Amino acid sequence: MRILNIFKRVPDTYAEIKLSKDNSDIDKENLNYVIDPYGEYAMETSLRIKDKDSSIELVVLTIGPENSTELLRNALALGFDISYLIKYENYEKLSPLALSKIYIKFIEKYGPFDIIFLPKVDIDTNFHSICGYLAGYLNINFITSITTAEIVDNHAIVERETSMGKEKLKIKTPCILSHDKAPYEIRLASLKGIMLSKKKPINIIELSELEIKIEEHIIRNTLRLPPQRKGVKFLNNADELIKVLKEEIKIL
Amino acid sequence: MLKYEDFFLLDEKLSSEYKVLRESVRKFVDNEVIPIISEYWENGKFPRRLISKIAELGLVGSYMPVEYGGGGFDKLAYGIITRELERGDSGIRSFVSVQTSLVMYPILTFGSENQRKKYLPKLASCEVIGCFGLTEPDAGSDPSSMKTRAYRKGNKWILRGTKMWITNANISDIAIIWAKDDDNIIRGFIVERDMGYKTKEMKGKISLRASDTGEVILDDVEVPEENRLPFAEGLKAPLMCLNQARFGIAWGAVGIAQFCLETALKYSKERIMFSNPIASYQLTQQKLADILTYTQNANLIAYRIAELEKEGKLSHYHISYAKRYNVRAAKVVSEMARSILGANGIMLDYHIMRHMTNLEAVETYEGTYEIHTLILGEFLTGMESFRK
Ligand SMILES: Cc1cc2nc3c(=O)[nH]c(=O)nc-3n(C[C@H](O)[C@H](O)[C@H](O)COP(=O)(O)OP(=O)(O)OC[C@H]3O[C@@H](n4cnc5c(N)ncnc54)[C@H](O)[C@@H]3O)c2cc1C
Repeated sequence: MRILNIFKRVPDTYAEIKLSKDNSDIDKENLNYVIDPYGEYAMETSLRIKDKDSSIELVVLTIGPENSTELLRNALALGFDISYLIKYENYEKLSPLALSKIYIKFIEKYGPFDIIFLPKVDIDTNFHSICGYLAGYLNINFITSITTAEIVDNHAIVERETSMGKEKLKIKTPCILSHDKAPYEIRLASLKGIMLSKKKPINIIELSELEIKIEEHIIRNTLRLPPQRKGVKFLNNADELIKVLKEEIKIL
Repeated sequence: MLKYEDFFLLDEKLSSEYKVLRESVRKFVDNEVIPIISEYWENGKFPRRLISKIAELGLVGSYMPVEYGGGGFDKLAYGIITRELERGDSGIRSFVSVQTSLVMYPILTFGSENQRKKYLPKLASCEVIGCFGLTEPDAGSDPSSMKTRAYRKGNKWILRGTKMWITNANISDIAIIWAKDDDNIIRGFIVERDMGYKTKEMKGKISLRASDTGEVILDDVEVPEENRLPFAEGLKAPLMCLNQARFGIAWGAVGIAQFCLETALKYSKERIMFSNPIASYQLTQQKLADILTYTQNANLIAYRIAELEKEGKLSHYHISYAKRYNVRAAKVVSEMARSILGANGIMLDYHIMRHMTNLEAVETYEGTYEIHTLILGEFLTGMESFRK
């Protein structure tokens, strides 16, 4: 069995985001890039599947600039067997459709995979569509926003959280699963894992090798930061509140 | 663009394995050490619950060979581990330093093959905790004046004496004990708890409170000859262990300085006094510039000793220089950072004062500041001035 995890390289979720001078993009200097948090949970799920059956081969893929290999090294140190980087500097500008086409080319060339894990959302762009695109192109089943997954025979048993409660679903492999936050902690790379990772390959694929033409399907015009929160004002009593509502906010 | 955290782009040029290691230890410290450490420190307890995670991550025995359960890495990895751990607390770093450099290292270096096979893997996995007993009530900076004796009795040794200020003593299963034989030669022994050594917690520390410190009492403890470290002879052996640990301390001090730098800078930008952030005042900026300088100098030294070690050119003088300067630098940094945080600076919640007081112990053990001064003095002048 082979499992593919695709994660997105994203700015550190704790980083302070600033805009570039012309407001067309975020200021990327000084930004620390990490594995996207949902992708991280998906990787943990794959590792847990492999903990139970070491014969499973775990493959990890991302797209980005050359130094994305650092993130792949982390995945290998955690227990992934093979890693691939599709080298493309401008990956953050790609629409979900363009990204999906690239991933599909990869899967056609390096697959087949029994399960493909994706983050439930690309947290940098807030697009949720890749999972659907991939399933459509590959003509296989998919489930979005799962929280856990196990393998039983040729099926994945997954859990999801819905507004009605937790549900358990069974899906036949091959399938695509997009991953939500998992109820467990993500493991950290151990020294032993890092040592083992030195022997595992990081394969760099040039976009040209995938024979694909990149089209800009969506063009971003401008970017705006959310308005700054104004300070909090403490009021002492209801009279003061009424005064503020009347005189400052003018809604009474 | 230039980052104050990695001003000389030292972390940036690390290869990806070391970057993964740094991130991993940093996350462990951020998620599991910093949130709990103040409470343990306040209660004067070592957080034993962290041991299993520390072992799982392979942070003990990082530079020991893989065949003995070690990590198979070099000293740079050890440096990165100690730096990131000490960013959390000196007590946690001390635990790893002792277990790795003062217990595993002497067994690897001075032990027999049987001893290595028997103890090293269990020490690496922390199934067995060790301590290192050199210092005594009346033998601190001058360990050659130790009173602990090892009397030969057939195929056994009888150990008699008291060791003091011993890190990990109370939680230890084995102790590396240094004692003088009938010919006044210092010998090393692996003494197991079952052989009969007693320990007593040393209470009332106002520094390194989250570390276990105790006395080790050897009241005619019988140790078989096979537990003597066969290749340790004379004071040189324990001093070689100390030099391994000092390397990690030099790195660890950088972790504290980096933590103080980040905390003080952030605080000074947010704290408004006299209608402006205190970061906008020249006096604060001078402190911040000094903090940056001491921190980065210490980091440069740490990286340099790792490089020299790799090239086989590291001398014990470099290590004395690095331990002495870096710990003092971290002390100066922590004091200035403390002042930037004002009253908050003395609170456990902000961690700086905890680091500041920890550094008093760190500057004392593994050769005091003064002793390293004398070592450098001897290097420069060729004249030893430890004793009259
Ligand atoms: C928290 C903690 C943990 C420790 N853990 C361990 C451990 O695990 N194992 C272990 O064996 N030891 C350990 N030690 C002991 C430590 O190594 C000693 O405290 C240290 O060597 C200093 O010895 P001392 O305290 O007896 O001070 P002293 O040697 O009495 O020194 C007192 C002062 O005199 C100065 N001084 C001494 N000689 C000279 C000189 N010739 N010229 C000028 N100044 C001089 C010193 O620098 C110091 O300022 C630990 C200590 C502490 C505080």
